[in-house]
Amino acid sequence: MEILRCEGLTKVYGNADNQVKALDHVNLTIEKGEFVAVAGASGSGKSTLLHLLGGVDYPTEGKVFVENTDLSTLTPTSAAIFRRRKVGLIYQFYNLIPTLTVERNIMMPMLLDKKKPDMEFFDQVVATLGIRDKLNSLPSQLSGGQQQRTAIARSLLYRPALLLADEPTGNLDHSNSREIIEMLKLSNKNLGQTIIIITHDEKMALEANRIITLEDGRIASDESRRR
Amino acid sequence: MWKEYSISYLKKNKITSISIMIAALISAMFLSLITTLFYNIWVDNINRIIKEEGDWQAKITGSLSEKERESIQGVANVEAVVISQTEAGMETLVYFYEMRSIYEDMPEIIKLIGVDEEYVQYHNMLLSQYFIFDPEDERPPMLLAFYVFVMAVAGISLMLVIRNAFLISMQSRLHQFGILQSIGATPRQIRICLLQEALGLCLLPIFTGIAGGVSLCYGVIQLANEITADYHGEKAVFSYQMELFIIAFLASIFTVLYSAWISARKFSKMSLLEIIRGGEEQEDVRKLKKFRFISFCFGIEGELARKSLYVRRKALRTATLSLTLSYLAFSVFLCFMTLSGISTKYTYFERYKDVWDIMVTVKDQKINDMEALLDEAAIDKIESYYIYQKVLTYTWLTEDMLSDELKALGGFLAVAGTDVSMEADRYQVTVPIIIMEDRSFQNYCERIGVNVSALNQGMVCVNRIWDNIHSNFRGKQYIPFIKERVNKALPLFQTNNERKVMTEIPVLAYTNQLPELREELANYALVQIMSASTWQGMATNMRVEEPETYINVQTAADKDNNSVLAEVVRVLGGKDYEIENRLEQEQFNTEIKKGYTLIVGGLCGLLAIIGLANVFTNTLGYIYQRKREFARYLSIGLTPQGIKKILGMEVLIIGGRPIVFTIPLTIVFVVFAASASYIDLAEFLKNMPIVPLIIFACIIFGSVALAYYVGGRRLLRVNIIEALKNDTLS
Ligand SMILES: Nc1ncnc2c1ncn2[C@@H]1O[C@H](COP(=O)(O)OP(=O)(O)OP(=O)(O)O)[C@@H](O)[C@H]1O
Ligand SMILES: [Mg+2]
Repeated sequence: MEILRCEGLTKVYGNADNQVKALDHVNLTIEKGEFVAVAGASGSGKSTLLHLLGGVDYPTEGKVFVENTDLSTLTPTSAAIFRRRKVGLIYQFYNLIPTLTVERNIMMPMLLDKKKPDMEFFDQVVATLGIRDKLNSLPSQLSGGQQQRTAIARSLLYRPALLLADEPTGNLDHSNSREIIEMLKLSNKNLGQTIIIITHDEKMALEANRIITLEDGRIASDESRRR
Repeated sequence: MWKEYSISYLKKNKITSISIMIAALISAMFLSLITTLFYNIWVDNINRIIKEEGDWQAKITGSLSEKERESIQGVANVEAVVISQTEAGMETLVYFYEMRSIYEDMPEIIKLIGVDEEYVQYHNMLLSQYFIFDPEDERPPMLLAFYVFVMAVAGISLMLVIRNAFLISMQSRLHQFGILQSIGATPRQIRICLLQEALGLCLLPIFTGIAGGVSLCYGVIQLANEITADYHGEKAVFSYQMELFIIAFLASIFTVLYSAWISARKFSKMSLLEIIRGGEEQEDVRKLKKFRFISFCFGIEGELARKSLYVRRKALRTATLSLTLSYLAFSVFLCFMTLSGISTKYTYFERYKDVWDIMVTVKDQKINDMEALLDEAAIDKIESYYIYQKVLTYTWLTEDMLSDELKALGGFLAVAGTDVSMEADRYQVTVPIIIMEDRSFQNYCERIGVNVSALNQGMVCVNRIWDNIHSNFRGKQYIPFIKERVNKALPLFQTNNERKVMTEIPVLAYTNQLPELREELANYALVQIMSASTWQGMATNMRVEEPETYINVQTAADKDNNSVLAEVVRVLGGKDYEIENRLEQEQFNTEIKKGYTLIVGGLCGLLAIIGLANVFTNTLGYIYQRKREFARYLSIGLTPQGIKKILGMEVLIIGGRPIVFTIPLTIVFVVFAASASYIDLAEFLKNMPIVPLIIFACIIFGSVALAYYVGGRRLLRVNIIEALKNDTLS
């Protein structure tokens, strides 16, 4: 069953005399439960694609459907609720709220929905990510890697159907990266989450069951693999 | 390169540049308005004083010889010595080159010519206008101090407006400057660039603002003339001086440069890394309070709003301060006016309502002639009248003469305290005498039920003293002052031409009722009422200091006032007299109060506008810079409604704080002032100026909300990704 589909997705940056075509008529369908890796050279449009899929930016042309809903038809309010419940987005820059503690940052999407987080799951997530003893710190008191792990915890806690991650292990050492990949794989398998990650890391890409490579805003290759 | 950089920056950040320009414009305008206005009030005061009292600085009463005058003229600082002849005798007026040392020079001068100190008078009223005060005078001149205080507060808060505008724009540029510095720009280069920018942005607004302020002041003075047109013969004239322009200009330019400089200096105090990471935001976030209560009541949105305000607390402080000051000043002033209104109502208009309607003061006339005059007038509309003169004497009382009631209260001293002077075992007591024309005296005696056999044999003693232990001055209760011994003579003393004179006049009767006169008599005095014939027959060695005769008229009804007035004017034709009219005075009093309210209210309004301008530039300026903050919230899934909720919460906190601060302070003031002046709080509550206070509060909320609305609309249209990444050079 398909969870995500985009048609003729195009994103142009800049004004008339200085245009950058970050994405050029991208067509893509992703099935529920897939674990997709997006690779490509720097500037090839990976982050742009992710932002469009996550509904935080709008395409210049083309459409994105998530569970058959056209994102462009959403009102700002339902778009916000969509971001909160349907997708977990892990940004290349961590995008934490500087005035909230790590704990409240992680719980933020839940708090916005006035829901009580599942404390057992919360414990498990922060333990795995190794930020349990940082829960009462502020983001500015964390290292880059710790901030990244906080951002990951935040997107995992709501157990969204779709998880989008922009280089989630970019700032982490080898063993840390390993653990995070294991964690993502686990939730992909157990919760049936669909996961799309951007990575430069060959090894990590090999963990995925589908690898999409972008080149100058176009899909250069799209291969499915058996694990 | 820097010029280009500056220009492109200013162009791309129009809102920030405009907000700085507006801040400079408003501040320069109000600074120049306030300075010009106060200058004009000051000049007008001086002109009025000179017109009413003369332009002399010090004077010596009594005649001086030619030689003495010459030796005064010989003193270095003396500009001129002028002799003048007045009713009271010769006076020598002394003018100085340098007024400031008058209180040192004048004692020297009188020592030189050997004149006693008591013959010297200083023109205190005029001198104090130049801030020259008698070093021995302990009471500071309150009103002047108040003016200076208001001016200082306004000036400082205006400067803060400019400083704030700069600080806000700085915040957004820290990051950029950090990057510029990291690639090799020196702090000096950045500072100079900033100062140039500041000058370029602000020069024009400052000139325009000063000109605007001056024309505004001109308008205010015209308006004031309009209001007082009916009462004031004299019109205020607008005057302006180059110095005023220089003051306003220097103050504005100095503030602009200082603010830019301070902002620039912040760099040198920060490490490069801190600057690149975003400056203050990071720094402050390190020690963040929890605000558990707010997040419990208002959810995550409340927490975010409160924390975001907390992080920006330094910049908001000026806004809160000026808003609170203005609201506080406004509400204290209104409450003060209400209290003083209640007070004068009781002490003056209410109290004298049934005592007088028309009051005539006739100069240099025999008291006996006046009766015949009034007889001529259409008397049917006059209910009653008293024709009288006043004279002040004193007497000595010994302990055994005091009444038992007074002794029971603990004696004279216990009641009158420091108001009484003692010598050996005697008290010196003031004895005001009301000398009534014989028929008025007879009327008075009939009224109080006293039977006086012969009119020229003695006086009636108003034997009462205020029991200030059991009552306050608003509801005075009286007890007998002395033991009543009919026909015993009371010795009266007076100092006449340096000579002490004494007369003994028998007391025919005692009463506790004063005649209904509009007279404010001394508190612990023994008032005597006597007929003109008694005075003329028995007190030949005394004199009435002010040869004035008063006619206290009560008309049958308020509507008759004008016809009676016209009649009185007719019969007094050709004489030197003054007429006061209670109804007109009441009306005048209300008008004056209205004008006063308008001026001080306007002043508070001005403070409020400054405060609001501050809030406006602050909130607006900040909201544009909070794109990233709100983009972050949006990206995590906060709905636009949530954002509105956060903004609404901030409006409540910013607008509510001045009000929350003001309420208890005003209550304290009212309770304190009311109890100090013995006014019933219930009476105050009935007349509380609640409507203007609510309106003012609404205006505060309204303008904060407007600033947030204008800025918030822009926030909601933000492109999340652009905003999140937005820290490159732009
Ligand atoms: N806000 C923007 N304005 C103009 N051009 C932009 C903007 N954001 C991205 N681009 C351009 O779009 C193209 C794609 O950018 P994108 O961030 O998607 O690359 P990326 O594949 O994620 O690169 P990296 O691996 O370095 O993160 C780049 O050429 C970039 O210059
Ligand atoms: Mg990227």
